[in-house]
Amino acid sequence: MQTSLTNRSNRIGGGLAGSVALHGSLAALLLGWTYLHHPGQNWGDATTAGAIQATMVTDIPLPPKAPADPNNVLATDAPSPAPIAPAPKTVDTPRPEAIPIPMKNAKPAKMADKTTPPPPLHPQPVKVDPSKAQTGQATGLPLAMSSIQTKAGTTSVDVSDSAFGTRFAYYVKEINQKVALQWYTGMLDAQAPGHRVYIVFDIDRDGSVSHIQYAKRSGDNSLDQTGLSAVQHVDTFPPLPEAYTGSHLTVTYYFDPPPRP
Amino acid sequence: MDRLSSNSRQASRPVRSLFVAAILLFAAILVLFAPPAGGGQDTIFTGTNSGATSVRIAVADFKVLGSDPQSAAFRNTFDATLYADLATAGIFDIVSKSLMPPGTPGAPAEIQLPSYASAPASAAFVGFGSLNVAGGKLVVNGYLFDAKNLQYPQILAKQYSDEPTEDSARQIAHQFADEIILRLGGGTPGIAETKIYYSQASGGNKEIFVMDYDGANGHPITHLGTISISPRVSPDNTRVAFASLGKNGFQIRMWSLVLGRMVNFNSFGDLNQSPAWSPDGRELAYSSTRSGTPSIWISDSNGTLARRVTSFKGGDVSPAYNPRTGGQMAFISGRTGLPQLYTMNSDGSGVQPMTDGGYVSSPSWSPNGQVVAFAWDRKYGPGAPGGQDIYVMEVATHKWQQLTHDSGRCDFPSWSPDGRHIVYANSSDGRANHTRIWTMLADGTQQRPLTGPGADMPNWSWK
Repeated sequence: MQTSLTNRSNRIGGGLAGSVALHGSLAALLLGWTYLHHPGQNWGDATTAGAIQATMVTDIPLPPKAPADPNNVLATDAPSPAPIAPAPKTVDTPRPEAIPIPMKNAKPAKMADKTTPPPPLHPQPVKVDPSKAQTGQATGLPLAMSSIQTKAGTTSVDVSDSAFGTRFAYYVKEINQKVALQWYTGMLDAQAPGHRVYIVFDIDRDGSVSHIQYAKRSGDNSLDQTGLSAVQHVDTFPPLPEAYTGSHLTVTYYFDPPPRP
Repeated sequence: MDRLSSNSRQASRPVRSLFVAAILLFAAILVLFAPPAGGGQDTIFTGTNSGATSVRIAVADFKVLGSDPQSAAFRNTFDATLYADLATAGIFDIVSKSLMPPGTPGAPAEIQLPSYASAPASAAFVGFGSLNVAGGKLVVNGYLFDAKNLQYPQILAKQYSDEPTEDSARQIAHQFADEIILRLGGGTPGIAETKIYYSQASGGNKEIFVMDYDGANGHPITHLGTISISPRVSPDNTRVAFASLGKNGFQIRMWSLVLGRMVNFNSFGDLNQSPAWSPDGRELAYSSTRSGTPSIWISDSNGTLARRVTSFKGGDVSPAYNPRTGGQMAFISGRTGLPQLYTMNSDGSGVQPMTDGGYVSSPSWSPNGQVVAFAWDRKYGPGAPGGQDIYVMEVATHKWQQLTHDSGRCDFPSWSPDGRHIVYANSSDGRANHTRIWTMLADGTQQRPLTGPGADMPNWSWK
């Protein structure tokens, strides 16, 4: 087209080819766009994941189960296959000409008297007096740290306070597990420099969380964010131990980035 | 043709250059829209959760103090109930009785913690205590000790006192189990004191019954002499709404647990069924045909101020509120043919389909609002190999998981208030009068029956 030698048919041919190429590239553009950016509506498809990454582990508040070793017959959930049923015993039929041998002193087998056991006693519903308001049942009375049973009852002496971590080690372990369960590490940036992010929060007596804030950032924004949202996702911790006298507990929790593979 | 081919031959050079340009353009498009390479695959780490397992707990037999002859029987009831409560809680790995160290410690001074902490018991926590009938009272001292912390082992020490009856021994065991579950189960209250309401066939009729969460103590609460189905207890445990067959067909009716009698619920003609309480207890959603097709209506708890929230061809039934927010509702709609699961806002806006196949019924929204349980026959139709099973679906991602397999017709799932258990109705041969109520953990394990045949449509109380 740029050369002066082109005649009319040649110009048409060039235009046609250009049009074909242009339309082809447009079609490719559309197809590429559709293929890459519209994966389709896969409702209920187990492989799709939306912007909110969530796992069934944290949705259903049950402890995660380690996969059982299928070769370990004691640890596996699947029962081993039932043994093959024994072949039915063959009874040899007597020959037709055989005469039955008379039995001496044939006595009928003794049968014990059958006694029917009394039917199990089912708990009967308690008749509620409709004229009375129903009050809640009395909850248990908390006993102090050291209690001694005597014939007269239970006497108890409280133990003076000590460092929380040694005295209520079980509670610290629970805080650890509960936050770790909510930590979603899939969004961590592998290349980012990160050391350890420290997050401070308060646990009130009923176990609720408040005043969540960074104590020291790690320098890696993704680590900071996932750590903070892990603490924010905890709906409640267990109530503080009864023997603990303080009004709330301040926790410093740190998240270490997982080792790089 | 000839002319065209000659033309194209003549135009071969520009065509080739354009073709090359098109390929380059396409390659550029591919590069432009491809997901960013690198950084996608190698950032996925697992292992945060893999080490965590269930808490291993041992429960010693309680020690009988005093010489009252009733004590031994109460002790047996108490021990069995406490053991069953902890074993079915779903968060514990309970030490088998045969692996327990000998002896029955009744007080902190009598327990040898190292013998529980070491193999074969290998327990992290030990529950123990004593039981005594004295002065016309049943007194139980219960302790929970951390077996690994020898210096300060005590986690919990409680004293319970109640009437000396079998029933109160079971109640105290439930209370102590709930206390342990609250302490060791991450702050979620236990469910040992909750109830299950259900519909029980009796002599051609169906009455509303109630039982403890473990299947014990089942007894009727209505005596209407008609067919009463789908009970739903109010969030404050004061009323039970249900559908009952009257002279105008099924109507919503209301039973007061406080007064022990029926209370008013305005009824309209036509079919009204499948009630559902809003989590604040002020409103009741149900399906009604008073305007033609079955639609979801919401009224207050007396049946007044009814308003219609859905209006679609094909019918909308079985509403279930999101108990966490109260702002959303799951329901079943036949607008595209077979009944499917949908969610919407409680005012009827924002309808979203959740399933796109099979036959779905009876949704129940989990207490934390993240998962919906429902019954689903994924291959429904004449001659199809389908079976109706219980499924759970994560609302945010639409990921689903099948919980029951090959156990016959399963229907009417209902969540426990801690979100760890699901109660449902199962009929192994598909016949309605063989339906039993079963319970399982929300991951599908520990399935076991709670009732005999004839019990159907369970509903777990809110607390």
